[in-house]
Amino acid sequence: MATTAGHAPADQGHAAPEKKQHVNAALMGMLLFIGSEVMLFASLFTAYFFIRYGVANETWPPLKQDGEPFELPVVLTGVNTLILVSSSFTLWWGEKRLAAGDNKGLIRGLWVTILMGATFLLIQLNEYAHLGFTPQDRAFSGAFYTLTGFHGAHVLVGLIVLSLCLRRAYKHDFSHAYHTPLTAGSYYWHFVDIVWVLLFFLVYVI
Amino acid sequence: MATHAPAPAHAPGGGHGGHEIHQDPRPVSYWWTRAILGTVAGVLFSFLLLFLLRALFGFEPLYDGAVYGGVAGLIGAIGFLWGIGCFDFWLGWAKGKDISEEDHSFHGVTNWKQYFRVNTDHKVIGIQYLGMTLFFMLWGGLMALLIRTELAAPGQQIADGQTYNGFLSMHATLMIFVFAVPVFGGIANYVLPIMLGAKDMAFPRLNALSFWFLPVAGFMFLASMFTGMFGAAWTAYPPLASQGTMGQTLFELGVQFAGASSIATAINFLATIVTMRAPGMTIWRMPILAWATGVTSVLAVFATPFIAGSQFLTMFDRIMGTNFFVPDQGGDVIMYQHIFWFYSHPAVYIMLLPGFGIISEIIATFARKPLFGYRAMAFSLVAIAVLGFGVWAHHMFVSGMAPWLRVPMMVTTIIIAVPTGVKMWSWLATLWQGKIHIKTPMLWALGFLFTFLLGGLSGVFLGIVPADIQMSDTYFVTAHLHYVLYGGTVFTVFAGLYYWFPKMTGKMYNERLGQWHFWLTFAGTQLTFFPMHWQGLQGMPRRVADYDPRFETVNSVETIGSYMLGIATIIFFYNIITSWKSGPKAPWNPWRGKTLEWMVSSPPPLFNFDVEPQVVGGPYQYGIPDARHAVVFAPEEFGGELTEDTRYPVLIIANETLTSQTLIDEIRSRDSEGLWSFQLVTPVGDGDRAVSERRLATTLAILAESGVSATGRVAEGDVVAVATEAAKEVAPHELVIATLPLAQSQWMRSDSVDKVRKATGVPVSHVIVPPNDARALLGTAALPLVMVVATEAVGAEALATAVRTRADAQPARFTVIAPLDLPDPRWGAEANELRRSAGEAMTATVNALINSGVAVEGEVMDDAASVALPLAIDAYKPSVIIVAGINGEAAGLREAAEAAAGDTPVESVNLGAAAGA
Amino acid sequence: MYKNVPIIPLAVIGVIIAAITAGQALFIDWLPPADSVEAGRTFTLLWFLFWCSVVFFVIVTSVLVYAIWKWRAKDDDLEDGPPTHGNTTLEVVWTAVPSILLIVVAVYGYIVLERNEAVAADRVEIDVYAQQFNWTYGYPSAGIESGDLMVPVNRQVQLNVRARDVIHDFWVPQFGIKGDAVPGITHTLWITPTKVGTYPVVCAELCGVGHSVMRSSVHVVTEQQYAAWLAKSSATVKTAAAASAAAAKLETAPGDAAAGKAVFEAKCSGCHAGLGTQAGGVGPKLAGINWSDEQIRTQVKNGKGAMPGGLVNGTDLANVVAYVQSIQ
Repeated sequence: MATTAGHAPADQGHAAPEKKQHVNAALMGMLLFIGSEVMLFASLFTAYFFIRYGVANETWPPLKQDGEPFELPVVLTGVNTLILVSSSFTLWWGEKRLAAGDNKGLIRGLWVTILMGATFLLIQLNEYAHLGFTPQDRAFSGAFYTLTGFHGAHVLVGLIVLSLCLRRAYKHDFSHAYHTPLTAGSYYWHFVDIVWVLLFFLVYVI
Repeated sequence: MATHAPAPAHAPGGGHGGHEIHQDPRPVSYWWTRAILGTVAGVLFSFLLLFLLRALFGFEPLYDGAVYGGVAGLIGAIGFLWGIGCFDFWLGWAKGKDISEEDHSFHGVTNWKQYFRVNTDHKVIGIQYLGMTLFFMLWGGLMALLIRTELAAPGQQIADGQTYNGFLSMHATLMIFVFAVPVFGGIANYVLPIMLGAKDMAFPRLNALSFWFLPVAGFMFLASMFTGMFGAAWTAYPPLASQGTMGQTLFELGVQFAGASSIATAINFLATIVTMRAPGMTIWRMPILAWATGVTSVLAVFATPFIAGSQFLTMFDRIMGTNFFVPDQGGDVIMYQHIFWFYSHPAVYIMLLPGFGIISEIIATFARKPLFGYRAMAFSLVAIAVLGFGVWAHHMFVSGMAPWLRVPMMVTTIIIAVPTGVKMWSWLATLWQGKIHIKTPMLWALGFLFTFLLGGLSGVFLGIVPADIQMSDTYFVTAHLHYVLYGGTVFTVFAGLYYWFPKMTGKMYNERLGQWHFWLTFAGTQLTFFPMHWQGLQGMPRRVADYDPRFETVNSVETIGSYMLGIATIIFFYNIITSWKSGPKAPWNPWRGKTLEWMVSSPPPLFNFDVEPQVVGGPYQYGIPDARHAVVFAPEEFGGELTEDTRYPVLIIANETLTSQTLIDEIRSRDSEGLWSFQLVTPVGDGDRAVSERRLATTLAILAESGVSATGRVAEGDVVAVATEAAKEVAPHELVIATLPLAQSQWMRSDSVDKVRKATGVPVSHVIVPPNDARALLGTAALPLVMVVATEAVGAEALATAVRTRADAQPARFTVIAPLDLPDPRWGAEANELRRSAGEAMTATVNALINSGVAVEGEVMDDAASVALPLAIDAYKPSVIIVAGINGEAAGLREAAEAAAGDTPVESVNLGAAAGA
Repeated sequence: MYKNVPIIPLAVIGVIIAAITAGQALFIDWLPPADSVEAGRTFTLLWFLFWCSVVFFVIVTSVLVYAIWKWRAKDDDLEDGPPTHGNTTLEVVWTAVPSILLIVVAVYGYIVLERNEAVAADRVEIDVYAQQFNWTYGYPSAGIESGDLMVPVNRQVQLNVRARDVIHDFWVPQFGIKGDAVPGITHTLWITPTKVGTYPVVCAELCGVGHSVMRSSVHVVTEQQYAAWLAKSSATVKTAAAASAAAAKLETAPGDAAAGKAVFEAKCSGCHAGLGTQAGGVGPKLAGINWSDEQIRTQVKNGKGAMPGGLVNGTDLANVVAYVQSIQ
């Protein structure tokens, strides 16, 4: 940006010019995007709550088409949840290592995070295969698959983003001074994690 | 359309604050070919993928139209977006391309075709948005006319129930998702960065992607005309929507893309407003349009995902067989309405708030007064947005939802009337005691005040539950929504378009046509929508193709009103198209506005500001002498303030290349940047002074005709000496030397360019003009064309002298026509000999004249004058015809010329008895 | 700034605008007759809202007209207006006064709503079934279903509105009450008609191709007429078995084409134009289809596609069959 050339006419007596550029535009953009994704999940949670507490469902847990109650593998998913939550910590650790100048530490952290995220997805897919009901079964099952499915899609996108960060880390593109894409990616990953914790609690636990 | 302002790359020292622009060389057709291939590839890929997956997992049936259609629609659209180039930069980054250099290869346009390509310039994107949304508005308007035609009388007119439902669904869907919501994105995209003092938006590439989502969405909606239009209205309530076919799927997908466009643009606006304001622009010094855009963007980011969610759910119910809205399986039909309206109510504010911002700007400017209660105006925008999240169920008072919710929603709904009222009062107070200038933008603003007032008042009626129980789902609602949308969206959009038209195009629109457009629209709006209040209360429900015959008169009147609206819209398009092509040139600040966009050229430079402006006061400092909102600075190398009259001199040294197209174009393109004045100096050397003077006079005349300010003189002496002296005298910013190529240029052979560079110390650009170009007839209509008709006189020195004399008297282009009365046989030896000698004489004359600095070409024609002259006159369209003869032998020629000339004046010149070259 | 408020010119303009507004309000029949207790309350509320709106409309338009007239500047007048940025008193007033008025309006509306929906102990309960594209009514007290909506005058009727396929909406403009028919729930409406007569039932929610013609009628009759009608209708449907056997006998008996035409007009002509002789309606032309009696009976009883089943039965069905055969 060029500096102001020439003379600047005197201020008209209003407040002093505000300092700006404290806000990183890219990170602000990522946070707003995350905000919109939060609202997307909010709409899906809304659907879930209407179905759960709505007029049409007198019994809880609801019954499948074959008359049996829905059963969710709470324990296994609980373990899966721990895996995903831990991956947020490994990512945070990787960022800290970068701040200390350790690019290799960042790379290690990213690898572990990605692998844990992939594990989460695979366990999730395995769970889908063994649940014993399809999305078409009842309204509840549709809501369940939609919520978890959308979340899984977001995890997949997160893995792609982290992989791109990993690639750039290998090229030594990040440093203590510049690591905006990495920070943006980590915001996204933490968001995916937090949504899952909420989802696990609201859908599986209670 | 005429060329958008920004210019191609320049030699060092040129403007743009040092940006070198190298446009991506691939033609627009390349991108569209890629886009079509991408779409096809996406569709085929999805078919293949689904087929394989379904075969693998044993799904029956293998081919399910709904599923295939849905997935193919999505992936095909992504293929289109990839092909048109939206993702290229990010894909390149992912592949490891070096992105440390700023890439401007897609910034700005140099011809109208490039509007159909990915572009990162917010001004281009703004115009792309406007073009696209206005196109969809026309389609939506066409649907409206079809609706009104069907409703002109009871019984079926032109459409059965199914088709009619398609019309009404398509009308609202197009108007809302791909006109009313994004059109403000277009206006703000263009204006806001300049208003904030920024060079572009925060994320230019995301900006481009946001735009391209829009044609995807709109054409998906329109494509449903081929698969069976969706007929569940824009509200798409299940279970009716779940019953729909492929058309409904296209609706659902289209909404997703339109929503994505809206969210991405909103993120961009917010980041721009927060991080890219010019120094000195506190949030309380932002123009209100910035507030409006920012608040609207918050709405878009947080509300739009809800409609995405709602459309996913109906789509899944239809193509996947889920049971979200199947009560027997635990689904909840009303749930859809809650999710849908949670977005769709804030959506109406997305369609209104930017319009409020535009009106605030226009009223302040045209009443010459500060906007009354700026802070209250800003707070009321915020209040409307925040409250707007809490009223959605007022669309559902009769829906059968939980009854206890109705009263709280009634309370929040009427609360919103308060900040909206505050805005109304403030606009009135801004007008009070002002100096009101009623130009077209102001007419629209005043029309908005009246129309939106009526819409807002009927909204209060609808907000009270028992009243709404009677009026919901009737024509009363149709009346209300069209009053607020026509008044609040359409009127404000037109107001903004007329207001910023001069800035965007550099031309003024036709004021008279603008007024016709306004009055016809205003009258049409009242005529079409006011009676609807009555028929709704009296018992006519919404969305019906047929009605009780007692409503016939009212409906016919409304149909007439709607045709008026259609005609008015045609006037609008005629006005903007013709004005853009050939309207009068617009000054930088035709409305004497104070905000930053009026302080740069019309259209603005490629990156808006060469140097960051400094904001020194509020944006509406009317009434205070010498009060300024901001100071815009000239490019760094000049310093000081930039004003419309600022011009920095460029010195142009040329002699033999003076009348060439290359040089003229070079001067014209620099002039379009708005910074330069041109001094042409012609070193004569040992050439003929008169020749040089003729050339210079012609060149200056052509430039003057194009509106370029240029002066010139002929100077004795060799090029280096002349250039050095002129440079000392003029102190130019840059020196341009135009020469012929090395083989023909004595200047180049004597290394003059370098010598001048060293001698003057000024940056020197060298323009090489191809020799044919230097001798070519200039193709523009800039100068009058004089047609000289002669037969024997061709080749005579007297003819050349006569033409030279004429050229000296008034610069013109010349065409010498020699009709030949050929003997039979026309290709016999005698005829050929005649042709050959005439050709030789013509060549000699033309060369002699060109060498004397006259712009001339010649043609020998194979017919007698009576046949040849009409052809020649038709082809060349001269402004005057001179018949030249020797010793009166031209009488026959003169007759023929007069017969063929029509209105063109015919003169005679008698060249005396001299003959021979 | 408001020391110099030009009261006289503003008042003159205001009176003119008010006169025009009031004139068109009073000389145009804006509302249907209020033929229910609820409509009476609601329509009074509407008029109250209207006159409040008139006040605001007159103020705003008077100021607008006056300002444009008084302060219009010539094209060559380059001066600015006075640099007025705000006026706190004015801003407080124009925020507070509308707020108060809106509170009043909201409270009034709430009271009307509560009163309109107060459930009376002696109410009559009727089930309303909406389907694509007609209405059926159930009378649980008599155990019958009918295509006719009969209600007694001056007594609260509770309508339990249900939908059989998509969302519809039950509306009688003169009763001022409307409610969606939503699959999966029962939507309860309360109406107390005050005048004997026949009123249109209008579907007010887009429900498909036949939405425009999905109409029915409600007959408001005296108590005695209502009781008599109920008794007669239930008497014709004794037990389910007997009813269906009897119905089958009735349905297959030779029918009366003239009587069938009347039934057709009431039940079928909404979708079959020209009493079945014309194309272009929601349903196809019936003249010339040359079906057997059995085919026609099956079609009417079971429905198909957009045509609902069970629209006509019993003797009515036999008569309709005869009528359709008569127009071949």
